[in-house]
Parts: sequence; C-alpha cells; structure tokens
Amino acid sequence: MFLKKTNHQNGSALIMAMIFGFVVLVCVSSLTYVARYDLLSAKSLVEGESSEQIEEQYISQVNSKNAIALGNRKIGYYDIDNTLVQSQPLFSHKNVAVALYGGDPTAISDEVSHSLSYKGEHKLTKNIILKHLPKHSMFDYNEAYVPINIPYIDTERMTEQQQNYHLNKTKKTNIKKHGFVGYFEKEKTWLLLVVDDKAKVINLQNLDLDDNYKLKIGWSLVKGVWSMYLAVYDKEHLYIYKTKLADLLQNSAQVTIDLASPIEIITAPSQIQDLTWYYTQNNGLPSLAVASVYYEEEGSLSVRTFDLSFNAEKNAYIGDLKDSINGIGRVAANKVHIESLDPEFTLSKSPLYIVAGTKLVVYNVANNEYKVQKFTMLLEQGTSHDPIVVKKNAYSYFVITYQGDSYLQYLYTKESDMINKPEPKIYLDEKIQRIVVKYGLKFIVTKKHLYIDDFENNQLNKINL
Amino acid sequence: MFHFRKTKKTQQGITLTELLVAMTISVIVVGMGFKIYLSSKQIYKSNKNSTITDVRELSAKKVIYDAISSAGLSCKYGAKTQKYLNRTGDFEVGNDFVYDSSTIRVGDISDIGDYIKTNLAGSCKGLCYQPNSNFIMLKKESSFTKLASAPVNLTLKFDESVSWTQGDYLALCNNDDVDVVKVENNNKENNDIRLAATPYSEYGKGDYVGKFDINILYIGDTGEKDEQGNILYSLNLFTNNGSSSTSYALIDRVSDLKVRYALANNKKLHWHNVQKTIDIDKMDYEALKVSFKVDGKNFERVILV
Repeated sequence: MFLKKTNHQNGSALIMAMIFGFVVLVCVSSLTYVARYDLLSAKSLVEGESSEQIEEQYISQVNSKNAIALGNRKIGYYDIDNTLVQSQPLFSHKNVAVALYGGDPTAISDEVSHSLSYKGEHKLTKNIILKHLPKHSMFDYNEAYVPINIPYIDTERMTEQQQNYHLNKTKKTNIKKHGFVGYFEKEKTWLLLVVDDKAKVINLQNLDLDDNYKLKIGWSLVKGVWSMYLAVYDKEHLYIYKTKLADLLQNSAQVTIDLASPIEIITAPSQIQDLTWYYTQNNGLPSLAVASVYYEEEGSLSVRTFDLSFNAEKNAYIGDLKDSINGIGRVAANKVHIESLDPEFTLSKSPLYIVAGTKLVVYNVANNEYKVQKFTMLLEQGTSHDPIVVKKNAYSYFVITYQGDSYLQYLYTKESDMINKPEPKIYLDEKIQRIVVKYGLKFIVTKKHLYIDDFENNQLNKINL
Repeated sequence: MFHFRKTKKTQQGITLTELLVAMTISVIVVGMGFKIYLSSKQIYKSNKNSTITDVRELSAKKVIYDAISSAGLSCKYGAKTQKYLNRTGDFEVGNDFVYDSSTIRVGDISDIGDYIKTNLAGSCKGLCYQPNSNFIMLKKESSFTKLASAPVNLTLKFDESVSWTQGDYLALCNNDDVDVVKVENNNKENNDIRLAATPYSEYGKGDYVGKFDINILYIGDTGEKDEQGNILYSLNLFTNNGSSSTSYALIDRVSDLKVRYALANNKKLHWHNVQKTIDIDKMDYEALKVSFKVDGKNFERVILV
C-alpha cells in the first residue's frame, strides 16, 4: 500500500515549542528584570555609601584642620563645591569687657554651603558651620602708639532700625575687615600713620599742642560705610578729624587731605582731662563726652562734663555743658576718667562711667531717649588708670580699678546706685601695669609676672615674665 | 488482481512516527523550558535573598551613619562648649540626656530598657528589645529659627510663626549657654510661643532656637518568630519629642547591634567594647565601629566622629 504524502501538513509541535519557549523567555526575562531592579537598588545604596565615605573623610579633614577651602575642588570623579553663606562674630555676654569699640568676639562663625557630586550627579548638599578665631585687636600698651582696630559689632542683635541705619542693603558692612589694621605713632609735632605697612606723616606743627597730647579714635557706620573719627587733644586744645575706612585702606592721598583739616568746633571745652567717643542715640554719629577739671577755691576738684555733637547744618561740633560733679575732694586731676560702654556691641546709645577721685558717676541713657539717669556711688579708692567695666550678666557689671600693687573688683547693679565694697587684691612688691579682660578671665600684668584670675578672684595661673 | 486504491491528495492527521517525534521534541523542549525556569527561579531566589540582605545591610548602615552624622544642634555658636541648663520645668529620671551637652550616647540596651518600656506604654512587642545588644541615643534637630527679640519673661518672639506644639523640647543657644526649654503653648497669630519656665541665660535678637527630639536606634522585638522558632528582630527608631514617644521598625531582620569606639594612642587606634553608657562627644573618640547582623550574617561600619 502506498501512502502519498500530503503537501499541507497541520502538525503543531514547533508552534507549541515556540509558545513554550516564549513563555519561558518571558518568565526568565521578568525574573531577570526584577533581579536587575533589586541589584540597581543595591548599586544605588553602594554608590551612596561610597559618597558618604568620601564625605566623611572630607569632613574629618575639615575637622582636623579646622578650616574649609571655599570654591570648587575635584577629587577623582567627585566634585566638591563650598560657598560662604555668612560669617558672623560670636560674642559672649558673661564676664566680658564692654567698652565702646572694644567688642572682642570669642569666635567667628562661618556658615558654608557644601555640595558633593559624583560624575556630575548631585549627591548631597549640607550647610557646615565652622568656628575660627577672630583677627586680633591691639591694646595701646605704650602711649606713644595708638592702634587702629576696626570694631567687631554684632549686626544680628541690632534692631531693624539700627540695621537700616548702620548696614547696607544686604545688611552687611561694605568692608569685611576687622581688628588691627594699623596704628598712629605719636611724635612731638607730627603723627605717623601706618596702615597695611604703608606710612604717612601728618603734620601737627600748627596745632600748638603740648608734647603729651593724646589721641582717641571713634567710628561711625552708616549704610555699611565705616568712617574713622580722630580726636587729638591736650589740656587746652581739641581737634576732630574724620576719614573713611575705605580711604584709610586704599586712598592715602584722601586721608592726607582729611587729616589735614579738622572739623570746626563751636564752644570747645577747656581744661580737658579725659574724653571718650560715645553715642547719644541708637542710630547716629558718635559724639564726644569730655571731662574738664577745675579746682574750687578750697582746693577741691570739680568735673564738668561736656557733650560735643556734630551739627550737620553748621558742619561743626557744638560743645554743650551737660553736668558738673562737685565735692570730689583734694585729688589729682589724673584721677578723673571717662568711659563709654556698648554692652550689646551694636553701636547703641552708650552709658557713660566717670570715675573722679573716689566718686563713680554713671550716666545711663540706654533706656530713655530724653531723660538721662544719673547714679553717684563711692569707691574705696581712686585710680590713675582707666577703669575697666565688665558685664557680669544682664543685671550687673564689674567695675575694676587698679593702682600701685592692688586692684579692686566692684560689683555694680545696673541702673541703680548699688555697688559693693570689695577687698583689694594685693600683689606685694609688684606694681600692676595693666589689667586685660579676655576669655572671661582677668590677665594682670606686673613687671615680673602675668597673673590669670577668674571673676571669683581665684588665681588660676602665674607666669614669670 | 491488483486492486489499486486511489490515494487522496489532501491527507488529514499525522502519522504515529510524526506524533512520536513531535512529542519527543516537545517533551525535550518543555523539559528544557522547565529546567531553565526552575534553575532561573532558584538563581533568582538566591539572588533576591542576597540582594534583600544587601539592601537591608546597606540601608541599616545608611540609617546609622545619617543618624550619627546629623546628630546635634545647628547652633551657630556650636553646641559643645556651652553650659546646658534644664529650664523645661521638669526632670524625668533617666532622661538626663535631654538636659546635658551630649549629642551621642551609646550603651547597653538594659541601661535604658525601662525608659523605653515606660515611654512606649505597653506598645512593645515580645521582649520589647533584644537583650545584650547596644543602643545609640542621639539629639536630633527637627527645625530651627532665630529670635526676633530678646525673650520677655516666658515669651519667645519670632519673625514668623512656628509649628511647635505643647511639650516640644527647644534649645535656646548663645555663646555661653544652652537653655533647654519646653513649649507651653504656641500663639501663631502673634508669632510667639510661651514657655513652661523662663530661660536662665541672656538671649537676644538673632539667637538660635531649635526644636529637637531624642532618638534612639536599638534592636526591637517584632513579636514574630521564624520557622525555627527564633525571635525576629528589627532595627528600631525610638523618638521622644517631649510630649510623646513612638517607636518604628525601620529595617527587618537586623539584630545584635554592637558599638565599639576607638581611642588613639601613639597614632594607633585601639578599639574598645562599650562596657557602660558613654557620651561619645565628651571624650576624644576617633571613630565608632557599629556592627549588626542581617539574616544571621555579620556586617559592620566604621564612622569617624
């Protein structure tokens, strides 16, 4: 029997095999996809961990160096970008000297925006806050040299009105420099001005000053522009100059012009013993508070306090007698000192402290615009050095006076006439040359030693000099 | 005589041989298919388990690293040198971490076991936590702002309203002190809040105020067991914001959390086990080594501090 093979065979094995194959392919593909997806999650986490480790090492390096480089930096495939967001001085409000322009920050706080990218892909952004020490300021330890220190101020604590008056539109000062930038060197008939190692001679020959004339530097800050005020004075003469900080740093020709022509003074005080720059209002230019001394017929010292404020219409400073302190007794004129304070470091209205013999007179204009509070207290002894006023806390100040081998630390309750009677701290056979308050401690300098005391009068250290 | 049968031109069906061949091929193909499928499934399962373990491990490392690296307050003054003052108006025993200067504390879980159990008020499952494991306790800032003016008695004023609520812990920060205070109520209309007690130190405009929580990473009992009857643990986050406490299981199957710390001696690192509760930022520790198990496998991560 012969069977003829048909041309149209309807078998299905291949199709079935293909269907099975396809099903298997789909199953395997989907499993592979899911596995791949999970692996991608793991890969992403691993990449994240690598970035974290790079970041960790970088932060550790920043920590150990206590410095962070601004700008862009490439490490292999990693891009690190650091931008300074803000830089602020940080002030302590406990056991700090609060003389006007004497703000001494404990640190400068820099806030840096830090971002990390890997192969162009952004990985993280964080803000890093880093503290570093402020630029130093100088003391006028030797009277022949008067340092120029650009004051550190606390712009954050300024009120909205103060910020509008003192700062520019970005609520900052135009010049970022702070601390010591130069000095005046006093000679008989001329002044040497040295800023950034560039010297300039200022002629004083025509001013008829005594040989032991003095300088007092003041500052104004208006719309972000710092200006330096210079009072040059002796017993019978007073001259006031003004120049912009920007010129002081970069335009010495303009400084020469500015310091050649004093601003006119109408009704200038005489018998000047001491003076200080101070503020009569929160948003204003500095005025001068002058302590003039006179002896009554019976030989008792009396002090007259003058205010010299700038009158824009007359383009002159106008002197005005504000108060008299009598009954001081038979004391030397060098026992009269006048100090102005800036407890908030915001260039606000300044309380004035006058020590005259054993009298301490406090003029407090801080709380009332129109009425000056006056408090008179008696100290244990007078002093031939400027008193140091230290803020203990929001309610009280320490007033430190020193003379010869001892110093006294009074505790004065703010806005009152309450002051304690302390025991003197004596350094036998040593003369105190200077007391400096820094880091919440007292540094007492004698010819032989440097003593470090806290404000509970515990001696923490004694260093041979 | 031969009889010739006329064959049809179109034949329906297939021959037995064809059927056998087709079936054989089909069986081979299907067999191969199943074999491929089963082995793929097995590989997938193994890969999946391995990947899940990897993901758990990496996630746990990330959670721990993020928690430690972001611990503390972003106070511009720093937050280590200041004196911490408890001005919350209360003092809860075992809660001293809230009021002191430490940012990271580690120790044996039994040291804070009662604290966790008490604060979770019975919502713990099983043993609540894994015995003989360590914990990592952190201060975690959740939001911050600046003072618009100096505090007046119990009131803090801000430039804009804040979302803080009664009982929240806040830290007020200046150069010398950190006052830990507690919110009594929030007056959103006046952009101010009232505190439970007055701050002690002197604060002014621009000073930092931040809300913070107390976070604890620890190994929690899930209340479940595996096929062998072993307790299943997870990496948990306990958080206390002052008014309430909660605990979340972050990553399953994580157990045996242990922390070691490194001290440098002659430029060499020496690793020490945590024997008692210690504050990491109060001493010169160089690094922490955090180890844990995921599905019984050991992992560790070194974190520079």
